[in-house]
Amino acid sequence: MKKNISILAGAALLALSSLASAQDAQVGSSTVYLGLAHIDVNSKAAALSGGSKQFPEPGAKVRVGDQTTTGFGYVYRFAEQWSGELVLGLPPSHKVYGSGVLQNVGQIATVRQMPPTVFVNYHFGPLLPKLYPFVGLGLNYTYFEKTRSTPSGDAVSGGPTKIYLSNSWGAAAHVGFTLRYNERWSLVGTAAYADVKSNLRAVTTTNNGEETLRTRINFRPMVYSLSLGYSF
Amino acid sequence: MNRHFPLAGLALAASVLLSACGGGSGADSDDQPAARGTVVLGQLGGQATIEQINAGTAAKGIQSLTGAAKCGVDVHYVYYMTRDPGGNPATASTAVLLPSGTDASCTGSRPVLLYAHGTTTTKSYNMAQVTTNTEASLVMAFYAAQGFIVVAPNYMGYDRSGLNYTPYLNAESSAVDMIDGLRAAKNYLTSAGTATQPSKKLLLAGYSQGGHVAMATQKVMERDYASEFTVSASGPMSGPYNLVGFGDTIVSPQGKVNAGATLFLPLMLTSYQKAYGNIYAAPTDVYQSPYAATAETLFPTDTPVADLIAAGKLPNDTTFTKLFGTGGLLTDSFRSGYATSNYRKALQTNTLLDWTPKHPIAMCGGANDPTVFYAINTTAAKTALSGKGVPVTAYNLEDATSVGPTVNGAFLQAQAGTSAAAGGGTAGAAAVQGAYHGTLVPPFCNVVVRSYFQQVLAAGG
Repeated sequence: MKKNISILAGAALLALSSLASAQDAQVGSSTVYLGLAHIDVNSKAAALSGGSKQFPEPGAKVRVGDQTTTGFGYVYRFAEQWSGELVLGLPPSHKVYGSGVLQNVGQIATVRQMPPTVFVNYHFGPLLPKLYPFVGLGLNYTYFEKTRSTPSGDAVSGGPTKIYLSNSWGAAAHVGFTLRYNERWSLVGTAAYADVKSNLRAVTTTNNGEETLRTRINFRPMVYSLSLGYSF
Repeated sequence: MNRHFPLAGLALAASVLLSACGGGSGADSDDQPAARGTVVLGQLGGQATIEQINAGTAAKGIQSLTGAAKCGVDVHYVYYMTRDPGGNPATASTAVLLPSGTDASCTGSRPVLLYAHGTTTTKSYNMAQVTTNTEASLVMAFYAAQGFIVVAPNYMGYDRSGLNYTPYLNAESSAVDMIDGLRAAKNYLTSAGTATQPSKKLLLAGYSQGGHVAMATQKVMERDYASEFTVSASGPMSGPYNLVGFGDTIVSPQGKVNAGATLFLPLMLTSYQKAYGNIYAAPTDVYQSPYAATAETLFPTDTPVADLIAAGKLPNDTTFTKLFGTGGLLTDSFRSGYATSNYRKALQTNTLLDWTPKHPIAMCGGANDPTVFYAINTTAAKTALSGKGVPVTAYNLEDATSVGPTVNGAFLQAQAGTSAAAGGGTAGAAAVQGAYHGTLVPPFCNVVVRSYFQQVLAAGG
């Protein structure tokens, strides 16, 4: 991952050092971009409830780990200072760790999510030569497509465990900049926040039947991205 | 040229980006599980004062054996990470009974007794419940109140453990659990910074199933963990050390079924089926109907055994000996195929006669034990393990020349008391049989073993 970032940084420096001048995207133009997105999850969740095993304060909790993935998307400039954007990415898998009383257990699950997000962006004039800031408001849909309890998760839960996460709709906002190398190529950086909340159910098969633990996770993700864009 | 440079960089960056895929979701991308002996939860559960301990031993009439308490006891509880027989992460819990008080024998660095409890079918069994758990209160009075730090794991499958069976009489797995429980207890006491801390002296003891566990732990510790732990001595009590010989006795048509067999066999069959996978293709291969439907997942459970019998899940026999025949637990084909069965091979694997102890062993039991037969287990183990360089003793409570006239006399008197309370005669004899393994022998063997440990420690062992 470090290698990828250094290559991106190299490309950015090259773009900065170029002497060519560039205007921001033209009305009616499309831009596709590809880059890296780091999802910095700051999850909050109440202690797991239900089940037969009671734990003292602060209870058995979960914490969702960060992940970096390949991000890509499409931007359509529908007015001089306005664009519509669809943000996609390769679905990132997040490690889920024990927290609270379960702090020392380590990774207890893996969840893979698909978080497509649409934005309407407002683009400002150049802040520095070739550097165009923008802000955007949008809507995020997070679809949890693959979940798995690890052997450690099963050990704590008391048997083979299936994890279910409800899908989430929520508002999203981001700020960013476009560093326009020329009319075709640009470098785009963003910092985004999305409102992602999901109900977690962990269903464990024990000798006495199924046991279900529940909590609601507020993911509170900050997503930092750096991408290369191609406009046409 | 200048223009091509960034484009080449872009192409390269794009190809690298496409290979960054957001992390795998497969098991191969999982973090390593937490280390064995990692403390998940440790807490002080309660305290027993000297007065409370003395009141308890007086009420049970065993204070002449335990002695008056020198120390109060802080009852700690530790929930920890270990590994199941397949090497997968597992959780288990242990009691840590810590001497407290001002007596010199209760403070500073104290020897550790790693204690292995006897068979229980009760899922919520917890050696930290010293007020309600008879075995825990006995161990507290005999050892913790006399200055030993007692670490008493509950075993995988019990209490908060996530394992949905227990690796019953699985020598290697039991040793791993005991070792990790000891590690977790020591980690916990270090981080808790308690005034009383473990010394390097380590003693191993256990009763019944725990006798087997204690001996297995010594074997594995001396073989694989010699740089981490040094066993001063062990005191396995009333244990089935010779599982294959014991099994041959119980299962052979000419043999004798031991008291408790209908509880022990489901525990063993499930344990070995989980560990080795080849004991049966289907439960109906070994269990009669209707027991086959539920026997595999019957234990551990918090449903009382009487309720299980009432529900038709165990043979209706309060001596728990109805192993074979009409209405019995196991099939005739299991019995007839026993000699060449994988079950017998599993018993052989877990038999503890073929190893070389590096530190002294003092076994103890009663020769008339109807539950774990003495001669086939204790005498056989003494014969097999003796003459290998360290003292191996077998104390027989029925023999005055073995345990001395005082202990022997008191043991015989306790049996007479139990018999008389039941009205003597046949009823009295039955009462003695019923109480022999679980009630009569334990306090006497513990006094013998503790005395042996004190001698070993006094001699610098």
